[in-house]
Amino acid sequence: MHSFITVVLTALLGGWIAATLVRRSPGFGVDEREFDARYSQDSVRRIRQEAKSSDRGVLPDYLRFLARALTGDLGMSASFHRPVAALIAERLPETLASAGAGLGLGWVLGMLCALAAALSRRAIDLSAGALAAFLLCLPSSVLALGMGLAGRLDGKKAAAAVIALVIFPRVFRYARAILGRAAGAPHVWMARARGVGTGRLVWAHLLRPSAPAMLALLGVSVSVAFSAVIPIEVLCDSPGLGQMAWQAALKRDLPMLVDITLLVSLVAGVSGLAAEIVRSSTAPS
Amino acid sequence: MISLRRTAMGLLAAMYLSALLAGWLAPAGYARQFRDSPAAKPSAFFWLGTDELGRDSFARLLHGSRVSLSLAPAAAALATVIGAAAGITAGYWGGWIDTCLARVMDLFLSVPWLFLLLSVRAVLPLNVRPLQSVGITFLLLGLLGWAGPARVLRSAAREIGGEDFMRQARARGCGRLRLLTHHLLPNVAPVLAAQFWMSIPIFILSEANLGFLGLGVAEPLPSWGNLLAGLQNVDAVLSCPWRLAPLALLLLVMACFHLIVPMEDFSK
Repeated sequence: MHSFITVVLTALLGGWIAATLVRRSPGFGVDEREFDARYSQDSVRRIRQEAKSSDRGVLPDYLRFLARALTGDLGMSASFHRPVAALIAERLPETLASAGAGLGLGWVLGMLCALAAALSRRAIDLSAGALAAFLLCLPSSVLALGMGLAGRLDGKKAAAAVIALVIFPRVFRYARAILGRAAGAPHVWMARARGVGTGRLVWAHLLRPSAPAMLALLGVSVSVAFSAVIPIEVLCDSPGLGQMAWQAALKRDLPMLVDITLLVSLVAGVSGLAAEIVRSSTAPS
Repeated sequence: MISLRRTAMGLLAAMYLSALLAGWLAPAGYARQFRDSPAAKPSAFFWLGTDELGRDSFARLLHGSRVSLSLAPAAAALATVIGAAAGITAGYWGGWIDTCLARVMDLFLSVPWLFLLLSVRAVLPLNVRPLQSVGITFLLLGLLGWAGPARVLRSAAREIGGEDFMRQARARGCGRLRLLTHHLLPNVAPVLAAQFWMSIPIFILSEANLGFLGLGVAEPLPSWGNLLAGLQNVDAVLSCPWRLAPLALLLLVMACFHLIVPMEDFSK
């Protein structure tokens, strides 16, 4: 319960920080119509006055927004001219599916390569290490562009594949270090010398003792995946939250951006909490 | 491995030097448009050809490198300083200060910051000047990226704070400030340096992603982000492979950073 409250508070604070940063940015309150030559000086002045009169300060506006959000009203999108809640409900499943599949694939690949490397498969260690280093050197947008050029996968599958490529090197390098340390422990050498089978060795002596440390990273990897989702969905043409956030940013649709940031923070926070609960239940007492 | 690291440092130094001497090595400048030579092939005059607007690609690459290679370390320094102040305060003082600061660190680590960057970058004035956009982009990166270093420095400060020499100094009546400046800070300095070096490639990649989406450094000022955005014109890249030069340079720089400081931190 204590952790759940922490997650909710974290998400609320995240939303508040986003709202405050947005409010304090130099361009806040500037209407695109102010740069439209068709509007006269008088109209521009009126537009500015209207914007000024509707501005009540960060905290009152944020509290009002939260009160509305509790009733399911996240406001209207200025760029899509539709309720934000309906837009999020449409796009969220797409993002969850691609991010979930990408995370799963990235973790499986990373763990398998790290296991093989820890069990002294030197060729795998070198090749997976080189691949991981190469992938870490590339921005996710370039990876997404490369996947788009390959052109074999549709939007959602391509996005999932790129997220997997973003997650894989991080999981591999971390797991390689932890599993390598576990594999070098004297009791593991003893087990090997006594002829314990590979399956049992991996499960009982490598994976189980390393599980708490690896699970601690699960929540962080969700945050990494959701951050990478923006360029990936834009370039893979996957109609999810990331693509919508980018479109909203280009059209300066601030309510939509704050809503999405709040939601993604909540998803990342809940994932972190879930990982923490599983970790504490598997950690040796 | 040591020779590889030395080579990487040498390469980075050479790249920094050529980026700093961009005005001398590529006197054409990054914004000058040669209207008679749009999309020109590499030649003795245009080493990497020109873009669709007739701008010298080599000059843009060098000037873009100068922007990315000088401002990413500045953002990393800002993030490391804020992270050090928060992390060392939390780890050294402990108690409720530690609890509060740890919560704030968790908050910043759990918020997917590309969304936050996108939000803030989106509200910048439409007529923002290129130099302002550079400053704001990297300032935001520095202000939002401090939590990772802070967490590492917090645990380093806690660990060193419990060491025997610290207890002995405390027992001999050493004041808190002297303990901090004479015993703790010199011992966390290597961690601080590592965090600084680790943050640089992260900020370079973040700027590249923002620039790729058209929300980074504003034109006509080049940066690796908006130079990489040119790769989206796939037909042009396939017919003129030298346009991959910014990507090749980014890969080289990132590889050098990874060789100098092994990246084991998963927090970013």
